[in-house]
Amino acid sequence: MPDVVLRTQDLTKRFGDLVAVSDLSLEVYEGEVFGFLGPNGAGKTTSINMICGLIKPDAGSVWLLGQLLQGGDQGLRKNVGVCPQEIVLWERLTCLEQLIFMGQMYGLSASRASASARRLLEVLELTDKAKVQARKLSGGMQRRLNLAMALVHDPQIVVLDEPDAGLDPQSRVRVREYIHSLARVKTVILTTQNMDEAERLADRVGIIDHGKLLVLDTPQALKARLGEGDVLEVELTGEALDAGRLKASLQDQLGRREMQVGIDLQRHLVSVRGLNAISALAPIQAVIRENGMSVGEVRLRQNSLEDVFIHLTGRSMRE
Amino acid sequence: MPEGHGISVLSWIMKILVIARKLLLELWREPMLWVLLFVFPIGFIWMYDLAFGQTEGGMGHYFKVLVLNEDQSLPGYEGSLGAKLIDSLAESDLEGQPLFEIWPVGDRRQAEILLRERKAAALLFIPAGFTQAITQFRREGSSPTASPPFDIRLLGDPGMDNFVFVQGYLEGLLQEFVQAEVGWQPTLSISYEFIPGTGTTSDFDYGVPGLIVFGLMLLSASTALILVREETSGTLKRLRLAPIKSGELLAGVLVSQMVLALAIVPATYAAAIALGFQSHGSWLTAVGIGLLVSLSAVGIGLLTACFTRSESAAANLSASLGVMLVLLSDAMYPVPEVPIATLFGRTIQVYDLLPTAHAAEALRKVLMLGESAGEIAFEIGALAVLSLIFFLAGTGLYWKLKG
Repeated sequence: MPDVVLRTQDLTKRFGDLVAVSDLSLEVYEGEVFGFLGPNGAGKTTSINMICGLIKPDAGSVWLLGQLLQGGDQGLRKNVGVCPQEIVLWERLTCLEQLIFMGQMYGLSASRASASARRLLEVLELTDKAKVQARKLSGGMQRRLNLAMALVHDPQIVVLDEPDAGLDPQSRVRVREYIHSLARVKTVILTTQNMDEAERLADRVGIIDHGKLLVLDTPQALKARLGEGDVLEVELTGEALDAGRLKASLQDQLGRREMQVGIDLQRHLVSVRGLNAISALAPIQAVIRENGMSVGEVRLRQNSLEDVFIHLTGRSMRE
Repeated sequence: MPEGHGISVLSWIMKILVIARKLLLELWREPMLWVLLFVFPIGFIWMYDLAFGQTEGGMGHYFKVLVLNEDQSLPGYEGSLGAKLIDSLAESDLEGQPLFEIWPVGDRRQAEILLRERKAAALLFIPAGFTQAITQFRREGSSPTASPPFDIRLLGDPGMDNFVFVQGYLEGLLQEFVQAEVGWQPTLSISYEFIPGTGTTSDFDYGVPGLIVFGLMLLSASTALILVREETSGTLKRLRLAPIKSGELLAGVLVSQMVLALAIVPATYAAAIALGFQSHGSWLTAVGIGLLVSLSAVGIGLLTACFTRSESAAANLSASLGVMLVLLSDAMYPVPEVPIATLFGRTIQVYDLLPTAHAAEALRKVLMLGESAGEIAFEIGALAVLSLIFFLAGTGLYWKLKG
């Protein structure tokens, strides 16, 4: 059993009448990538801020590396590096200057901070921008520098709050590769709304909504809770959609096959989940046509964490 | 001291210096702040030179005349003519407004201090036998070319415009007074005496110390700006995530502003010298005074940062407060005197509650009169105490609201 590096117990935070985080209890193990998933306003950032000691919980406790985190635990916080959701840089300092400065703020000597800064700039492909002020960097470069700022003091635990937000495709790939390289070397706590990203990177995933932790397990185990099989998605085209009638017809047609049927009105999508879901394509097409519509694009995919979230909350992450 | 403790103090100091260096780097790359901190005060000195650099120009609005009256009354007379002359001067007017403000003084030393500090325009000596001489002159009568047998003396700084104006008005009024007393117009003999070491200073020279303080008080703007910027850009949160205490951050801010003060004093001083400022004292002592002023400026910057949400609001409000403190403190222009107490034999005015008043006075004494740090102990002490109060108020409030 790996060591627990972070433990929260009944962590609660209220802002007036709003309960931002309610009784959050979880454990994060050494060397794992822990995905903290949830839509906007679910309570992820508030949880992270309490874990980092930036805001005080109304109730509950946080243990870092086996020690209870209290208000002035400056020394304990040295072991954590935080990459905030928003880009937080000193605009008029160069990439190298701000990395060295942060390293020194965490107690590194100037030479160690400089060596660490140069290494990170190289890994994140910013070496040629070392002497460029942050305000002159592109958005993607600023994001990468933002990430480097969390790592310059070589912390044991790295908290990345939506590190992929606002990234261009090239930077996203670079950041993803880098987070992947951190796995096993450091403990990574990753908050994101991007289920694919979490599925790809995280060893375990906690899904949070309305301040409550709904589930916590490996992505495979969470998906398995939805049942075996694949998801067949059929796009609808055509006029006037009577969702209720269509769903009733589909359930009637597929009822004997033990398949779950869903209709997403916004995306004009029929989804069917079950074993050998592709076998349902012909009956589905027939029902759609009977209801006066046509079939557009057809996709077959595996269960995803997005499906887990929809199953748990009855709505999509983007809603 | 235990070794571990020594290392932690050293690392604490190093951290503060690293913060200060980082703040200075950011300010170095902020052209607008350079304009505010250096170009603005230097430009102000130039404008002041244009306005008051010539001794024939100047203010000349407030004629405060010190009077040392040694005259006695004669037996059988009610009051002395010396006292009557003082009343007459106090009642004299120019276009319906009082011409002089008369301040009786007890001794010459006290009067000289006030003249050196330019708190008054001139000292009028009324000699011991003034009443007797006028009475005798009236009784005996004489030719119009005869001079009354008394010696009226006027002491002042000939480089000060007000002294020149007062001298002109007083001659005429004395002539009128004596003529009224004796019944005809005698030839008056008035002797003039100058305060040692003066005679060459102009109003421009007088204003330069206040302008140096003015430049230093603009540090309140850079202090407020860097703190509000740290907050609005989120970097303050980043610093808090690192093991940095509020005290370390604020100490870093103070050190960075003191470094700027070390540059501002020589820069404004050099600009003033280039424009003809006549300095007689140690500019290093002036730099020390500048460091104390920077404490006040940082205090105001911290107070402003507590209540402003944007960089421009922080810079504007704190610069306005800093400049207001200079203008209200008698540092650049005379302000109305409102005495509130006496301390160490000195009359304390309302503006003496402002550190800028003592800063300008200390700089004036050092740079214009060549006084040493020991001779301005009162001003330095008052400046240090008041600056510390401003700094602690700013630090305390910032700590409470944002710490």
